[in-house]
Amino acid sequence: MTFSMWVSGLATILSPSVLMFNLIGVVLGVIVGALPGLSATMAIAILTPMTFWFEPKDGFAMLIGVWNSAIWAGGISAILINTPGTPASIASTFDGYAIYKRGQGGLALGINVIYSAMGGLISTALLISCSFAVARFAVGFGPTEYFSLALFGLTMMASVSGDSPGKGITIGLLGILISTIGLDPILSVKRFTFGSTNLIAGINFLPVMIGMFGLGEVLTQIFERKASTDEEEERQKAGNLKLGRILPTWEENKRLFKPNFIASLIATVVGAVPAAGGDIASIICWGQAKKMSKHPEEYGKGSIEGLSVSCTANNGVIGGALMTMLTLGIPGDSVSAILIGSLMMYGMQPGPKMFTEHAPFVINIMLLMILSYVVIMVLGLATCKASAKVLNIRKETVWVAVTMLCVVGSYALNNSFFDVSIMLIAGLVGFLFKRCNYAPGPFILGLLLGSMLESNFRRAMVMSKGSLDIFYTRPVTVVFLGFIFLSLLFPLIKSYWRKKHPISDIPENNNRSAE
Amino acid sequence: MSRLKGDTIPGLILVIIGLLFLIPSIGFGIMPTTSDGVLGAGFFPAVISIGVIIAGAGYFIKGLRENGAVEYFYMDEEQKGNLKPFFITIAATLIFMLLWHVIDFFIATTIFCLFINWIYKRSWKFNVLFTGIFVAGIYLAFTVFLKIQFDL
Repeated sequence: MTFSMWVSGLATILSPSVLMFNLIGVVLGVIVGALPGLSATMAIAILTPMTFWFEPKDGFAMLIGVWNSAIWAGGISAILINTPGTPASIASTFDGYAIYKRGQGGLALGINVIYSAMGGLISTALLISCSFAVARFAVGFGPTEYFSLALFGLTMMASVSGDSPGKGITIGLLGILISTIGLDPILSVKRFTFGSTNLIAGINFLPVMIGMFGLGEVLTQIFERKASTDEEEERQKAGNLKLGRILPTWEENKRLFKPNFIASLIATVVGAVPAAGGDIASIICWGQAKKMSKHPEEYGKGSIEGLSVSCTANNGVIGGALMTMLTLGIPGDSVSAILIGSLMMYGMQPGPKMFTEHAPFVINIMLLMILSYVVIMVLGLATCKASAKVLNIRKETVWVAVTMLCVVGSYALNNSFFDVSIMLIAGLVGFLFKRCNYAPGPFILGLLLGSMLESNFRRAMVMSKGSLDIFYTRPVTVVFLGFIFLSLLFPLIKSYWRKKHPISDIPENNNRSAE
Repeated sequence: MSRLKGDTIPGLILVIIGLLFLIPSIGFGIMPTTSDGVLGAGFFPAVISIGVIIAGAGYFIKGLRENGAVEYFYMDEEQKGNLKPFFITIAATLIFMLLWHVIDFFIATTIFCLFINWIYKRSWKFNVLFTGIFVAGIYLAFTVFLKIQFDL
C-alpha cells in the first residue's frame, strides 16, 4: 500500500458521482433506519442488484452510505417512539426515550448523530490500521484453513441465532444443502438440477436474500399487525414534545469521550467476530459503560452517557465486520454477507487476495466509510429535527413499495424472471422461518458459505490423499477448530451468564424490538 | 390435531427435504473411487442431508412431545383480521407476475399498486398519486437510467 494509492483513492471518492451516490445512500439509509421493521439488510439486499449497473465505486458509495446511515438512523425511532428502527439500536431505547420524555429529544438526536459517527470513525481507523496485517497473515491460508474458517462463521451464526441455537444449526445446514444445487465444484457433475438450465449455476443467493429480508418481512408485518400497537405508536408520535437543543455542551462531550472511546474499541472487536452484530455489541457496551460509570444509577432512566455509548457501539461494529469480510471473506453480519455478494457481482472475491489484486478498491471502501460519516455528521445535525418526520410514513406505503422493489430488484440483477420466482419463494419461506422461530441469517450464511466449505474440504482431502490428518496437523486450522468448539459451547456459557446476570439489569419498559 | 402444532410439521418437512437430497446424492457417488482421495460428488450433500434429517426428526419428536403447547401460527382476536390482507397480498403478487408475463410490466405494476392500496384502505387520492409517482419512478430509474428492459 503506497501513499499514492491513498491519494488516488481520495481523488476517486471525492468525484461528483461518488459524492452524489453516497449522499443518496445516506438519505435512503435515514428512511430505512428510522422506520421500525425496515432494516439495513433489507435495504442493501434490494439495492444491490440496482448498483450492479453502476461503476463499482458509485455502487459501493451508495451501499456503504445506506449501511452506516441506516444503523445510525435506527436510533431516531428508538429515541422518539421507544422502538428501535433496526435491531442494532435496541440499547438506544434504554435511555433515549427517557431523555425525549423529559423534553430533551433534540439533545438525544444530536448525541445519536455525533456518537454514531464517532464509533464509526474509530472503528474505520482500526479497520485501516489492522486489516492489511490480517490480510498478510491470511494470504498463506490453504483449503483446510478456509474450510475451518467457513465452519467457524457458520457455527458462530448458529450459536447467536436467537434463543434456539439448535434451530440455527439446522437452518444453517439447510442453507448449505441448498448451496449444493448446481455443478459440483470439483468434478462438475450436475446435482439436483432436475434438467433445468437455470439451476446449473446454482441458486443465486441475492434473490434469496431479497425475498427473505424484503418480502418475508412485509408478510410477517402484515400477519403480526396489531391495531392497538399502531395506535400506541401514533399516540407517541402525536405527543409532540419539545425537542430543545441538539448539541451537547463542551463539558458533556468531555465527560462522554472516555466511555465512548472504550465502547468503540469493544464494538469493533465484537463486529469482527463473525455473526455478532450491532444489537449484541450495543448491549455489551451499554452494560460495560454502566459498570465503569460514576453514575450507574442514571442508566436506563435517561442517561446521556448510556445513550451515547449505545449509539457508538451500533456503528462501531461496522468497521470490525468489514475487517472480517475484506480480509477473510467471511461475513461479520448479514449486511456484510450481501456486500460479499456485491463484490462478487463486480468480479472481486473478498479475502486476503483482494488486498493484492484489488488494493485500490479496498482503499476506496475504507475511505467511503469515512466519507459516509462526514455526510452523516453534516446531514444528521442539519436535519436532526426534520429527520423525525420520516416516522410519519405509514406501514402500508412501505409494504407496497418494498414488495415492488423486491420484484424489480431481483429481476434487474440478471434480467431473469427465474430470479423473481426464486425471490417470491424465498419470501414465503422467510415468512415461514420467522413464524417457526428459525432465524433466516444462518440459512443465508449456509447458502453463501456452502460452496466454500465443500470445495475447500474436498481440496484438502485431495491434498492429503483422502486422510483427515491434514485438519489437525496445521496450526491455524487447529486454532480455528478450537474456536468452533468454543462457539458451540457459547450457548451454554450464555445461559450460565444469563443466570448470573438476570434480564432485570435491562430497563423493563424498554424491551420492544423492531424484529 | 394439537400434536401437529409447534415443531411437528416443520420437523417433518426438514426430514422430507433431507431425504429428497440424500437419495440422489447416493447416486452421484460418495466415496473416492481412486487412490487420489477425490470424494464423490454426492459425499458433501449426503453428509449435510443426514444432518438435516437427524435435526428434522429431533424437532418432529419434540413437536409430538410438546403436544400443542407451542403454536407458531397463533393469532389473537385482534390479529385474525390480518389473514385477509395477508393472503390477498400473496395472491396479488402472483397475479401481478402473471399479468407481467401476458400483458406488460408497467400495466401490471399500475394494476398491482392500485389494487393493493385499495385493499389496505388507502384513500383514492393517495392511491392514484402514489401509483403514478411510483410507476414513473420505476420507469425513470430502471428503464431510462439503468436501461433495464422488463419485456419477457
